[in-house]
Amino acid sequence: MAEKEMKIRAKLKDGVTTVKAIMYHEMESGSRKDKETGELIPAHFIKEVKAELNGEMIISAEWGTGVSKNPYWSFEFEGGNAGDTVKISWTDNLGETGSGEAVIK
Amino acid sequence: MKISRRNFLEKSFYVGLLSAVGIPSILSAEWPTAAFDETEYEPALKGLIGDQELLEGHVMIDAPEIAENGATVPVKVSSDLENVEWISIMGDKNPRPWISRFYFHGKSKPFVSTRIKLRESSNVVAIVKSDGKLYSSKSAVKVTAGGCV
Repeated sequence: MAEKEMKIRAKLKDGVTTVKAIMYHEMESGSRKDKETGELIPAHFIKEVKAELNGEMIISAEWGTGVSKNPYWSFEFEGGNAGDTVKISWTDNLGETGSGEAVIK
Repeated sequence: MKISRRNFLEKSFYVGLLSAVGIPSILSAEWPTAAFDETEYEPALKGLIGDQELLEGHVMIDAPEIAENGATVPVKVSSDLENVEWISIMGDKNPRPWISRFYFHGKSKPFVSTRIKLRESSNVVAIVKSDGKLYSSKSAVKVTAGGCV
């Protein structure tokens, strides 16, 4: 499956790393109708997300259709160092995947 | 309990399916289908936590009092508890009230900042699990233009 784009950055301050990310995804709920055909637009949404620090899991998440389009996600953790890599990856309900990486600054 | 042959075969099929699929690779728990499938708040909450008691306090929600656009409402949730296993977010008037759940591993802080859809003015409910206990809090958000949920 095609890897989709993501914006991600990670910043270290006073021992706490703050990660901010935007994942580009429709997050289609499955209950909206196509304005022209009147047919329901099939659900298409990110279901599972994980964030790793140097390959080790720090946060994982389960999402439904109530998460906004192009999901924004920010979180914080201790123990990161400048130069470490934070990676976020997701899988949606159709099995498509996306990921993005940031080096802690 | 009497198990018919057909019933037995069905059960075997599902057990087989479960072992074939296994536990979702990136998660420590199963995706909460029981909560997601419900279209009313109380059943969705029950789908998430069963009959377990919800305690008050220790959950902080930062959400706007008025949201101009229900399609993208910024919400921050945090907790002052130790050993937070997860934080889950719900919207009590949404067509699917259960929205998300975040699991905290390692040295992550019990904090999440996200954006959610709210169909109409409603309560954002946050539930925190810590040391086997559940805590919750809610925050009323007035939505002036509903989200396409």
